[in-house]
Amino acid sequence: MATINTASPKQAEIIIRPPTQSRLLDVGELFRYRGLLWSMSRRQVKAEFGDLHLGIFWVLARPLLMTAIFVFFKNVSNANTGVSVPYAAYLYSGLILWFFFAESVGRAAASIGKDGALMQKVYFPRLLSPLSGILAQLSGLAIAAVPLFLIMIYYGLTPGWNLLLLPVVLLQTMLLAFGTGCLFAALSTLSRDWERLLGLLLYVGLFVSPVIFAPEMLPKAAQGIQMLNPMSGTLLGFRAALFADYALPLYEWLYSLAFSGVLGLVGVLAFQRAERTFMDRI
Amino acid sequence: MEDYAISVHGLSKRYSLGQKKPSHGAKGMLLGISELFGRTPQDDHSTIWALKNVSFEVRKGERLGFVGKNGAGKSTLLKILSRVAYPTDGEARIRGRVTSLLEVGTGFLNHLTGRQNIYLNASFHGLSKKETEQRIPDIIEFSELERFIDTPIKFYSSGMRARLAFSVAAHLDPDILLLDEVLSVGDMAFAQKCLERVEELTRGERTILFVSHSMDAVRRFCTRCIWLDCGQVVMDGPAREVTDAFTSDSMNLRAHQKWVADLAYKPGTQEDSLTAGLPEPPHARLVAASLLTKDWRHSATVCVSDEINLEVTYDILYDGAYVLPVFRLYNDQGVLIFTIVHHKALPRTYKRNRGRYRSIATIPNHLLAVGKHNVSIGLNTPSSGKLIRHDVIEHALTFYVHEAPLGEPSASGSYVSIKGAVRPLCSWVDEKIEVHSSESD
Repeated sequence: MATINTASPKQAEIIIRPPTQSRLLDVGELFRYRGLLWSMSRRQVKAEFGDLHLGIFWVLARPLLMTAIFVFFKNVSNANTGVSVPYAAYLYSGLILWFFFAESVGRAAASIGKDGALMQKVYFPRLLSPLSGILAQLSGLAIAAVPLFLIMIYYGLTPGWNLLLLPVVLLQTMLLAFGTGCLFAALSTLSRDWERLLGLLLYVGLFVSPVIFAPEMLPKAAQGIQMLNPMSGTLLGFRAALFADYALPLYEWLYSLAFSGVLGLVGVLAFQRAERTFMDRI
Repeated sequence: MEDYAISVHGLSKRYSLGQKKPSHGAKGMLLGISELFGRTPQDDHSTIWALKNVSFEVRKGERLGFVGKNGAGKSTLLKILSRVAYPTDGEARIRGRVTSLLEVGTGFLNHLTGRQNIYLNASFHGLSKKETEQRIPDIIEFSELERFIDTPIKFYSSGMRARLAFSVAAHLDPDILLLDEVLSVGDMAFAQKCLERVEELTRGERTILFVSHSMDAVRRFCTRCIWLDCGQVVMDGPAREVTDAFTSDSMNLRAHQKWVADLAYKPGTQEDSLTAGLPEPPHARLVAASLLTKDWRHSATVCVSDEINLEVTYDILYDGAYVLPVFRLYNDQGVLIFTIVHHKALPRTYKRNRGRYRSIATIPNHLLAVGKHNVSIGLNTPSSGKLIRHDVIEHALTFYVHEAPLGEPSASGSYVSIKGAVRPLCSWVDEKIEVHSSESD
């Protein structure tokens, strides 16, 4: 019989201990299982764009339609949105990042429900489930980025060296989505109401975050409050990475980064706790 | 340095009995938070220890079976070793790649096809796409699901899922294989195939942990066995000894029974017996009965390949009595399989005087079927046309006949089990009597 060289989960010794005595986050193990993470993500991408022939259409339809509607409203009402770059580019870029965030959070939050049956049968690092959900969303973002480039070319907007910030901002967005998603995945194993709350937050968040307007539109006091929203700094950072003459609000973005880091840890903690109690329940 | 594959030390697992349902309302939401970040519930009435302080070590290449009643903790143990459940206390160390097959449909996703699920399952075990591709033909062939392999498995029957699950697990080439009741799924023919595959796998250096309710399967595949009860190790030793002990315990087997404690004869019977005609029966009574192995040990579990000695001790109460012991063997369904009598004892030559006697009947090996048997014992006098019963005890002895260990002759051959009240090992001849033209090509 042929011997095989295992790709990822090779380990000298597996030590099984009670949750209270084991590491909260085993990064080394996650790294060993990167092959599985990759195939889990790919499977989800395939499910989204492979089976549904209109997959690409659905990814583009939402931000494009909303952009068209809000640009129309702005033009007929002559509203002051406080935006310093062409409105369509500002709006569309905000929408695709928001939808990327919202979808990622949604996938991560649904991960225990989706993979729960699998988790009770096979071992794999449980965090791969929300992680793969978020990674898979990158494909949607990449597709949605194509119209963004066209819009930017149309308005003659060029990114500068600040484009180097883009991966950093995206990683921060994913960390925030991961933390939020894990936290809600954990909470929704305990009460269904958390799922509803998340849906509401993601819906309202679209309108209170600087997606369709710029913070400059708001009165000074409101600006301060709105910057408490971690997605505010994230969205502005994303624009700053894309548009050369859009300044990065450094402190606001660093706040978002710190918030993402803390929420990421809280999310992992909650997820691990929930997964352990969930496993014992059935 | 110890050469262990698995080392378990003080492993314990506590489950909460009260099933917590997701609570609703604002209160439920807040309770959720406290539950997630608060302390874990402490030991109280609503918890149960599925495993308590279990320790053992498994050497590389050892084949360890687990037996015990339902809820003894066998499956919990395999779940912890498969890392789909967490221990509450203790530690387990595993060296080598583990593949586990727990219950039916291990780690399948309903909306994926059989083929996609093979890839998925293999990827959980760290096989790359390429490695999986090399195995796919073997896996599909073994599962006998060629026609359905590109159908989503939500359309599969539970038997088909089990086949696929076993086929994948059996082709992953793990160092350590954890099997939980795998042989109880699927149809007989497939179960047979699984057995053969397990046999094949056991030939290598593989370490196997095997949970089963089939003592025969455990005896057949395991070198060692652990008997768990209420989450604790009752016995740990050679598979044969442990399964025997467990079988006797769980089936209320009885290898020995005694009915008359004193040796004294009934007073006043002596004068009566001097007369020509014997008094009214009974003329004898049963004292004790035992089931003995070929080396004269009491044993309530015997192997099909061993002879069984049935021993009965009885008192004859009057001189010149013609009393014959008789054994009747019943199977678990209460069917009388056969009766054993002393075939050489004729009335004229076999009159015996007062005293305590012992008779032993030996049942040849390879006669009884696998399963539980009851022995009824009687003391009779067969006399022209009618039968005088002096003493009868139903279900005097209960014993279990188990399958021969792997490698020893057995009437079931390579079958998992064969039907019938008895299963003699018959001689068999195969001959080729005609050469078909197609074979000469």
